[in-house]
Amino acid sequence: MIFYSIPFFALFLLASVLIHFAPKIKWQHALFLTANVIFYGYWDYRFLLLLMGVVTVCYFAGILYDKKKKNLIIVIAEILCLIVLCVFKYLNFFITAFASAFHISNVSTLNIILPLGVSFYIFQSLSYLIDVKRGTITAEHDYVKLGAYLSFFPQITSGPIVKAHDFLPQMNRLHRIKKENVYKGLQLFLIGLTKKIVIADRIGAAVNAVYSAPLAYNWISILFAILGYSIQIYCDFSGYSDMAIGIAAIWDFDLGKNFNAPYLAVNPSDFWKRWHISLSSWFRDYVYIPLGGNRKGKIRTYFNLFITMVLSGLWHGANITFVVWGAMHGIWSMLHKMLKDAAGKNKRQGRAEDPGRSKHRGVVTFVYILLNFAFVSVAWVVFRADNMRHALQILSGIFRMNGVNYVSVYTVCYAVLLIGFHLFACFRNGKNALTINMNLDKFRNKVIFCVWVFLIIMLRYAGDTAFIYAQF
Amino acid sequence: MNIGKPFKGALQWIAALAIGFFVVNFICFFYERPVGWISTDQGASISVWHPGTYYVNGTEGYAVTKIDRYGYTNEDKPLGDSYILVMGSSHSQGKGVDVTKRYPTLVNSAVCGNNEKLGVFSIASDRNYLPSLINHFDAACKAYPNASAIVIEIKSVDYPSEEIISACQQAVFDPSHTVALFGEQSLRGRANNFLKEYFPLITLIRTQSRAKTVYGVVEETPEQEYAFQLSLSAIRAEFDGDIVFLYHPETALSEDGNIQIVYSNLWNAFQKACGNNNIDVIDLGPAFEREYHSSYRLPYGFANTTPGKGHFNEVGHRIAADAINEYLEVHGK
Repeated sequence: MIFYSIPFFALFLLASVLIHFAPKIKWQHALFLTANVIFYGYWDYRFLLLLMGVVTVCYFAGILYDKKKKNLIIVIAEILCLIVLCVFKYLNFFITAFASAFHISNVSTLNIILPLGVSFYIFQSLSYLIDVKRGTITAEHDYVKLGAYLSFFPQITSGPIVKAHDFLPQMNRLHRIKKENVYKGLQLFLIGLTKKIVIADRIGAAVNAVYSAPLAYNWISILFAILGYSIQIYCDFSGYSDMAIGIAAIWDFDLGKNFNAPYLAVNPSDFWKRWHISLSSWFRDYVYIPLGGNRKGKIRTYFNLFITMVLSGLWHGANITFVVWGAMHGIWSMLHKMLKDAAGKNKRQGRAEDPGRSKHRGVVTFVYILLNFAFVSVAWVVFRADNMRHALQILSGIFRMNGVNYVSVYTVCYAVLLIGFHLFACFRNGKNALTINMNLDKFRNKVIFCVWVFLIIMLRYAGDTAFIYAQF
Repeated sequence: MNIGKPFKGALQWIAALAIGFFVVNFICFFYERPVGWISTDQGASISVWHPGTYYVNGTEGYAVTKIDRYGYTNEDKPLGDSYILVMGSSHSQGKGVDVTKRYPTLVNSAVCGNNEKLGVFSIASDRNYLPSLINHFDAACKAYPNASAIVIEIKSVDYPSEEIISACQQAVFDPSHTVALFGEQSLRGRANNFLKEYFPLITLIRTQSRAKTVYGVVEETPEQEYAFQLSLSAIRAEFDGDIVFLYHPETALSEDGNIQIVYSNLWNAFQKACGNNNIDVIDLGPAFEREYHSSYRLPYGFANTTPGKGHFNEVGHRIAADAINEYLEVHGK
């Protein structure tokens, strides 16, 4: 049941009416959970059992910890959650990696289907358990409420990963459908829909053509495919996030911001504060800081950065390409941190900043943005490729003079459009992503809204439209 | 509670929806605007388009085509005393390619130069594939009796034998089954065509959601060979001049960077049946390969679609035109 389908609209409309008129908070929790179960079960009812199993583990672990205050309880629950993730997502990867390392042939892998959104709800479960252990929140004694949080349908398939301490307190009040929330949510939804079915899917078709036969294309085609994929993955994933945040906003939930003009980032640290914010902040709070963060010396900081990024890569999928992608970002982050440390040392030693540099700060920032974008785009090649050989075929294509010359009109048009939005964000919005929040009480804005809807209908891509991040 | 306010709000939304629709519908005129058509079951082709209207194709390539007086996509000139007749599908209509760069026009230029009359005349229409081409062959010959040769453009020959055999039951020619039928349309037909021509957005939405007909894999069997033999001998009996099938196989790019020419499963059987019936065949596959190896250009696909897929692009049309010109030269035409 995708967001822009009739069954979804029917479910959402019915659930919204019932939630709006539900007189008690508990009734609303039950309605949220019911809607989640229908939404999730519509994909594959068998995985509901797994989801409910994870909820049950978290529920009892929380209650037991509340009573006995033993860390072991939380640790066991965390291990159980991680086992679920490992078995369903990584087992085959580890089996083949092991077999390949020890030259064992004829190893058969298991026929395991990846449950939808497993990486997302497991991370939310871990967030709940860690928050309970840290005392950030109290253990939840209401199974329905906890279940409604862990399976919250707008974000279960592709995020954002909402931390327990951000979400559960929002469930302690009655949620009513308010006009201003509906206006805001609808516009966010439309922004997401535009990014997804107008931009990402259309460019995706062009990118797929080049990635399916990279040796056939010349350097121009390859460069545009690399650029195209950078746009595609941003619009696909941030589009889904916008839709999820918009839907939740209509129900009076704040899921936070998941993207903030990431391609305006000047360095890797800035990039991860703007890209998939919920995941990067999850890794920061629950992996990087517990590992020691930057409190245990420089070498340890570099190591922590690297290992966090590798784990983040592995989270995306059981493939060596994701690990390499994470490692690339880890090295990039380490290098940036080293340069930053060196610059800090110079400053402390009283070496004055080059006056020419401060004079041309704008140009320097622009160069940093370009450099960071170029690195991120190259890393996306590894992320998108089927294997490392495939990634190298793409990357070596940058130097190939002969081949099919294919520049998709849509890649060019949407790149120009996005550059325009980013420039506007840069100069007029303090480098923050633009938000559209028209007052739909005004007739003029209603017309703009309707024109926008029909433009989406006209320009949408009617082919394959699966969300990239739903596979994680 | 003031009922007036929500009522006013609802009215505003209805008005906004209507304005929104008309604004985007207007934009759609420059993006993708179809034209009205009428079914000509007993005519030279399965359908004709509304003469004099403008067909705008922006979803695959970009071209604006003025439909000629006969309801087809040729340059709007009168028909010559003798001509080469081109039958085919949307590939021959030249979707997304300017009329001057389509293969019928290119061949016409080569044959007649800047003559005021058409020496190559295309009666291609949408979804006019092998079975319907066979079915309408006799009617086409009767509707355009001064044809000196007939070129039949096909992309696939993989159709079930029953469909091919039933196509042999030639459509009985009715001279009124031309653009003249537009004058006799029912109210429903007129409304449909009006909707198509003036509400292109609705047609675009309908096209986006339309499922494609997918044929199962057809294997070479004695029945298939018999079906080809029967149908081709039937069309051979209808026309004394040269009949030539212009076959353009599908293309794909393989992982190693080479072009793959994907032939129909029944291509060999079809080619054999053509030979048995003194029907010529132009296979564009080798020309596609040569073009790719010399300049890395593909015959299908546009900058707003994907390479190697979809309709003929300018390169495809040029290759087809060159192949036909060569054929005509060899045959002294």
